[in-house]
Amino acid sequence: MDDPDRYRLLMMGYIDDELALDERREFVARCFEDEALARELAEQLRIARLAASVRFREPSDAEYERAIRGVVHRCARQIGAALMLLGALSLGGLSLLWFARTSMPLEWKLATAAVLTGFLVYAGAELQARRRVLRLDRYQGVSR
Amino acid sequence: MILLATTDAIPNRRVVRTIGLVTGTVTRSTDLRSRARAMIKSWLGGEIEEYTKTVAEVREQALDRLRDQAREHGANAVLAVRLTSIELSRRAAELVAYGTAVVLAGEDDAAPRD
Repeated sequence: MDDPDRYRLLMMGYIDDELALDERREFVARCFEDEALARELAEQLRIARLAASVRFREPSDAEYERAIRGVVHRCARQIGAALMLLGALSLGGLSLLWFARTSMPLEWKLATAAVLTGFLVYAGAELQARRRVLRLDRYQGVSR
Repeated sequence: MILLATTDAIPNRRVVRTIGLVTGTVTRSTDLRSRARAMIKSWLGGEIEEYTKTVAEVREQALDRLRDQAREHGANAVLAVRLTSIELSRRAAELVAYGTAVVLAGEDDAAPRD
């Protein structure tokens, strides 16, 4: 298929990352054969990157980014997050200690421990699988 | 490339085959940290960027799935595209994109005008 308009359309799709795998392969293969098309693609990609770099930012976005980059803001966030994590770990530890010392019959303790441990193991496995999927999730880069 | 249009027809393009309904459905949620940030931000009002981002992700993914389904059916366009939200969970954004998959003739093959 040697329709120049078709390759121009495919180029638009390629730049916007909208091509299906077979269309993408066809277009890339064509670029290797057609030097003029490859040059045009390079130029279009350069323009697209330039346009992205000078994209208008809403004043609230710019102000928010400026605020969260500030030293005080970053410190406050990190201290807050660290305190929350430490507090949660302490609460977890104290709860376990209380659970071990409580006068609950042993069989009840074992059953409760099995439920909690089972949930943690199950959730851990689920979260691990989710993390692998998220690495491949190209929609996380969408802004708005 | 699959052309998406909210209109029932494209000027100067003739529908040579109607394939039928195609859909793209997505449900996505925000992560726990973003949800906490969103909750705190909502105390003072204004835009909640975390949710805006999730809605944008859902929109793009639903439209991509719509395109994929149209492509699988041999269409080159989807007409009368609509987006509609449903609510299964308060913590997730759910969206259905649907439309009519068609095969459009090239501009040169358009029916002559009166």
